[in-house]
Amino acid sequence: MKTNPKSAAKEKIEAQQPTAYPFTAIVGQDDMKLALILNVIDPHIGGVLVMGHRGTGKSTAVRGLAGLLPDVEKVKACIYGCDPSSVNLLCDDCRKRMRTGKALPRITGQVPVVDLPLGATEDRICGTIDIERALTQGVKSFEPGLLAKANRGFIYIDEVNLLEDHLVDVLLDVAASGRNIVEREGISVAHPARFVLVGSGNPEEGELRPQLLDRFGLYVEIETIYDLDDRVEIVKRRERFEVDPAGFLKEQEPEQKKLRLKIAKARESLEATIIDKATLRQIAELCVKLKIDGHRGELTMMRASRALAVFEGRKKVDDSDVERVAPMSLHHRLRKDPLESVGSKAKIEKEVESLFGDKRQKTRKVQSLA
Amino acid sequence: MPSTKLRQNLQQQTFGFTYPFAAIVGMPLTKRALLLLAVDPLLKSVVIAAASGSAKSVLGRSIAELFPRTGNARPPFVEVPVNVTDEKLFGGLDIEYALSTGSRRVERGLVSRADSGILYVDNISLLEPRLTNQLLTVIDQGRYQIEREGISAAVKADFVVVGSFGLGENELHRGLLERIGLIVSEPNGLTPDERTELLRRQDQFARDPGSFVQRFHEETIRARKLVQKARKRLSTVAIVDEDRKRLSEAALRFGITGSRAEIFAVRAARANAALSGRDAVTDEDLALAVQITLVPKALTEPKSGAQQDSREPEANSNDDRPPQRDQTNSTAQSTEQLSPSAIEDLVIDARNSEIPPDLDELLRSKKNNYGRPGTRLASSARHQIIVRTTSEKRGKHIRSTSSPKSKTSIDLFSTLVEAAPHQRSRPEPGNNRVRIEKSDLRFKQFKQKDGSLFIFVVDASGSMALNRMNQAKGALVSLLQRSYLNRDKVALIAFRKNGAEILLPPSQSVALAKRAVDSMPVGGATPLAAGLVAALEMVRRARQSGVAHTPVVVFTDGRANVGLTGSQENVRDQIEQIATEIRRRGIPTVVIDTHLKFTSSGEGERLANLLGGRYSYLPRADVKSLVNLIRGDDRI
Repeated sequence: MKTNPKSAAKEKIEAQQPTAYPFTAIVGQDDMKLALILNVIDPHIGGVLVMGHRGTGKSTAVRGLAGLLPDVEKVKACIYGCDPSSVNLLCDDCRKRMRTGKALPRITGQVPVVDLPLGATEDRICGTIDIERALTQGVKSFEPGLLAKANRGFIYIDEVNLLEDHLVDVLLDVAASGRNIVEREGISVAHPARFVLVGSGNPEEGELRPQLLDRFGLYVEIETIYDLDDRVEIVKRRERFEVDPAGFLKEQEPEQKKLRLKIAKARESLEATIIDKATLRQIAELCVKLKIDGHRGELTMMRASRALAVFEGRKKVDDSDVERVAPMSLHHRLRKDPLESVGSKAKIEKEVESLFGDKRQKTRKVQSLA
Repeated sequence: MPSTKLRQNLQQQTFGFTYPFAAIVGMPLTKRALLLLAVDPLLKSVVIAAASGSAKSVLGRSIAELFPRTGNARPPFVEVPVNVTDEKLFGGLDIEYALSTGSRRVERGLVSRADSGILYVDNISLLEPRLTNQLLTVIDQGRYQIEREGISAAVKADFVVVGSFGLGENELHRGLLERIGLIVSEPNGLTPDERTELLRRQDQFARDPGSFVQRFHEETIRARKLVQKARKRLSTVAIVDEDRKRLSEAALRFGITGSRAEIFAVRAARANAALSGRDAVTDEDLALAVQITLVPKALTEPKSGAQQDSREPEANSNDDRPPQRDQTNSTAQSTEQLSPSAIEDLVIDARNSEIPPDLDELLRSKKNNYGRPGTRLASSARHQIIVRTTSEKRGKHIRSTSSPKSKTSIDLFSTLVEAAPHQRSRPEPGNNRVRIEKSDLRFKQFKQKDGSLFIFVVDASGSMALNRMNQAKGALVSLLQRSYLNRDKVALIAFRKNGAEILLPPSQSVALAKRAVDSMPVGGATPLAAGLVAALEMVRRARQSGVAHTPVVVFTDGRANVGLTGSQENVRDQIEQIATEIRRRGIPTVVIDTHLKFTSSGEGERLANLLGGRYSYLPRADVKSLVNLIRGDDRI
């Protein structure tokens, strides 16, 4: 009689989670890959927006990210996956459980990566009354939505510039406060919803609202690869993957493992990484020179440069880190001038150059990602 | 229940027969493309561009016969109507079930029904872009994640798409082009003999479908066997790196972004080799692949896609035909080196031109007064409150209300949600049915397809074109900077030499708009009439797709000297005729007279009068007043 929604969906129509194309098998697009990795190392960076041509591997990279995420500790049987060690961020249920005096039961689990499809409705994003329980048992209970599922993880929105405005409003609201407050259909619930926002889109489809743009920590512009050999390699890898996903994954596993370990190590050492006052001052100066409004630009740069330093195995942030993350941290925060001929990236690079001058090690190559 | 299912059943009963693939007259390229799709379903989709009435849907339907059968069952063939809704297409809550049992279950959408079969979309260019985008994501992933109305489920949706659109109809959305496997248009119509044969067969099929299908039965079986054989061979068909490179190079030369097109190109070449019984890809396969996977994506206008270009990739690299304008940055750059520099064709480098000082101020100003009713723009850019018009019937359903201003559709899901908590307190009639009272009813509120389409018609003739282009560019980009608030779009039509050209189809993209203006050729005569005709046509299409507000902004000095046929006769009469038509249709217009000094003989003003529009004498670029004129005062 009463059908569980999950079992109902488990008729023959249900789809398996498709095998994701391995992150390390993506050819080129280093900026995008780096921006994603930095966010895994330090989720406080605030996410990435990847804009660029279609078919350049944007969503492939984001979907591949899941394969690199380290496991985290969660409170057992908590629908929000609360972190047992950060007491301040616990949900109401976990708080109650704590008050009983017992230690919260722990479990290791995956960092969630939640896809937010463009057609999602507000009730599924925020959560709403469990309609089935209400209808059959007359009980008002909360059915958590995607925001609950994404707590402590990532939310990915493909074609983010096409997202309906009323959904953008919801996201902005929750992203700013880290809490999802639901007051609808007789339900009154608030729960933690801290997530890293990852978006991608094609600028030819239209512009993004400035508030949403600003919400993304990093911004990466992705371009088509013009090198013929690289292009051929892209097509070949894709074919191999389509013919035999498992085999391809196995082939890539050593690389994947290497990167996974490197990220895990970086996460552990993040706290201990130093960023000195002089460097902070350089970051601030850069933002002043580029007339960046607000402080999110500086904060992002500070965190991103620290994450980059630790990723490359250094204990202290140096100029090269700041230089590398400046364009992706500030690009989308520059004031827009419609007739501007110089790209934002070039503008930032120019200022960076004048700031660091000669003491910069000109040709230091950024380490390859894997 | 689902109307599509019903319709399919009806079709089965009344017709029962599908016109056989083998009986289709002519259309060799289209047939070939469909066969390739059957051989390699990873090609994902075929879109057929053809004039209306050329049996596109007959072809689309017939393809199901070519697919290998499981048992004796045909693969599902599901048709998508253009006015499909989100929940019908992708699935959602099974309302009927919820009402009768109080429980939830997924109602399958068309994409789920089409799983391991064929999804057919007639007039694919008319489907709402939002839906097309989601549909394309489904094609890529082979699954769809339903997150709506209390349902969260991943459904399998692995199918191939066969689509069609009429030449001369709405253009295919650029993003759509990129994700489509094969795009075909038949370069040649049918010969009189073929037409005769077509008529004969249609007649026979209509009179006695049974025996008609029977007559082609053997051929159908043969075609299916051919496909099966080719499928087996496919995995062993070799393609050498040299050939892969040639395909990639061709894609680059066509300014194709991303790698999808090349992936499809390689697949198409191999499928064609397999179909022809070869073990390795030959130049013939490459040429076909280029023709149906790359050439159509190199051009914005499907019309030009009809041009035959069966040359091989290597032939293309020696070919100096000027590449199309609307390509990516980098090709736009290489374009400049490649294109023959006709003396009168002068590509303006508008990028380095002066920025009118007002613009800067305009963009940062705290106040503005271009608001339209229903859309209030609040003061600072950081804290905008957007008040949107919600209309009662059209557009996308955004939320629901208990007190609609007028009769509109009931939102069953919200009603159910409202009724749920009261179920216990309501009298039991002795079954599981959900009891709904009038106070539970919730009605849908829709967001109208809001926003305007500003059509810029710019005179690109003569030396003054440069000045006009800059004015137009400033105004275009300024309008777009605010488009995220109003969802406005802009389009750019330029007229020069013998005709008008759409440089920018309706778009919200600042990047595209800039590129369109920057690479615009200028010089030559002034075919004003052609420009106006193009604008009129664009308005017609915009109105068809639900955009009601379509101001036309004409930048000209008014001195038209070439008529529609390219001759210099009747120029005035033609303009008068077209202008009257524009006026008759109530299209708001603004004429910006760019004539310098006092030599104007009042032609610009005369044009504005004919159009019933506003006139402004603005020889010098002043973006602020331009935008005010276009935006604020466009309600005539």
